[in-house]
Amino acid sequence: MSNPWTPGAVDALRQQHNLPFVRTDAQGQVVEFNDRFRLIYGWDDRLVGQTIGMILPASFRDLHHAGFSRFKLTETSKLVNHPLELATICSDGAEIRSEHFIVAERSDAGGWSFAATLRPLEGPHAC
Amino acid sequence: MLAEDSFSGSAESRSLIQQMSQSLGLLRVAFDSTGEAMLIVDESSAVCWANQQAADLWGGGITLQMVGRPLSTLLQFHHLDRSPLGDEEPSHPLQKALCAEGRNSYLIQALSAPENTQLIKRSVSWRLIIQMNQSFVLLIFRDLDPLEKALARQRQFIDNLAHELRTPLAIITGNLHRLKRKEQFSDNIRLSLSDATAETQRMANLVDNLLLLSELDADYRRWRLRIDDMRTFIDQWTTNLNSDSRDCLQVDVANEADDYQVQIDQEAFHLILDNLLDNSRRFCRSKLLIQIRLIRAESHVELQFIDDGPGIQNDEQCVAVFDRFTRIEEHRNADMADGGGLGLPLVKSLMEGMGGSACCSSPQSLTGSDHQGLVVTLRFPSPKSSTGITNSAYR
Repeated sequence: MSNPWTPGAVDALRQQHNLPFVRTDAQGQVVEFNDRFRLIYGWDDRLVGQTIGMILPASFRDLHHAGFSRFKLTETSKLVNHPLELATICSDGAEIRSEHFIVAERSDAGGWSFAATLRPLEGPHAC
Repeated sequence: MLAEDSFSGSAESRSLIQQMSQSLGLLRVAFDSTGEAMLIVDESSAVCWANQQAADLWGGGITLQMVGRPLSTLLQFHHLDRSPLGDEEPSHPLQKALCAEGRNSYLIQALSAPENTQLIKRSVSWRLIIQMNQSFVLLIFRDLDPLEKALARQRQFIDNLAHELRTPLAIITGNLHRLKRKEQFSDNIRLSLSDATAETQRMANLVDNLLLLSELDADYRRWRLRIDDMRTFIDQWTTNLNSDSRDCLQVDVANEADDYQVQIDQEAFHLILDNLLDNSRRFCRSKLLIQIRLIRAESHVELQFIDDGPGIQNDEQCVAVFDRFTRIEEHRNADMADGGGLGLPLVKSLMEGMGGSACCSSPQSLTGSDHQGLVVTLRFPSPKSSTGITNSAYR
């Protein structure tokens, strides 16, 4: 993770319209997602303001919360800027194996923003 | 997350969540900073938590990638002689964790990189955790520090030395037996030859015991644990005894209806009882009478080995008899060859190796009776199948 918070990294992911995209604030709460994410995983606007842990399997949430809290203290993470194969939870509870690519970016004001593209690896939208 | 939902809206609650989040982060930093690799596996042997060291060794550096995966797909345990250890073998850490917490050394192969066949040696400790009616096993993998490595080398030296001594001792014993068969020797010489034979035998036993202790100290012993009723294990032991020894034994079971299931290594168990019997025979001057009493406790099965010898009169000696090469002076019997002071220490090490314990007391302290003798109490942990957690939970 040589430069985990490349300026513009979040926007670069956002521009990949063919892939589901989701972004959270520094607290890990969802602030935006794109139509592709909405279509494939079925979530609607009610996800905004919820923790991103909602889209992770329950068994991953402990590590996710701990890792998130750890990042805020150390500003280092091995998860960032690497493709990660993880299950993603749909709004109906179904799981879709997906490749997550997470980036982190710090704003000029010092606040953190996290974003990810999720490439579905199974199901009708697998790519 | 539910907590976050229910707390949302209150500034005080948000502050509390932030504090908890910070504490969680600090804990994570601490766990990731330690030199030990840590894993928590659930009842189906799937990883549900890992620290960074574990991920670096077996998860490609990403802790999240380990979650939900069976432990057996991430790493393979091997005995110290490099033979692979099956998931179902009783000496597998997850199987041993079902009985009691403990520690042992293993060679470990990472399976995440199949091309990497290197085995690393780690001291592995295990502990069963029951949380909200779910059981988990915490595994901690520790590299040996320089002092432990030096001790291991020293133990290896003792091991080698004992092996080297066995052959010459066998040759001496053989020659002494040959000489004893000659008829031209006087009674005095025959007596000297008998003494020499007894002393050589004592030295051979000492070497065997040293070798076994060294094996136990270095965690090199291959435990063959199996679950069965303690009464069956005792029956198997008594079957192998000569009739004189069998006649002096009396086995009492506190309650026949109780469950006396234990998980033990039969060979080690026989060695323990052999040593206790030998110890009692050494100190009891009149006709030997041994009582073996079985008691079922909540988490263990207790075996009391009670003789009618001189016993031990004070607490300090009760502890000291388990120290190596310790003999109680007033109990020395000129008619018997000295035991070498390794019998009871061996009993203790073998018991601890099986997750149990051994201690000494007098019948007076145990029952308040004025009966003379020594009581050696062996505690065997019950398999978790006897206390509500089944073995199959980890299969």
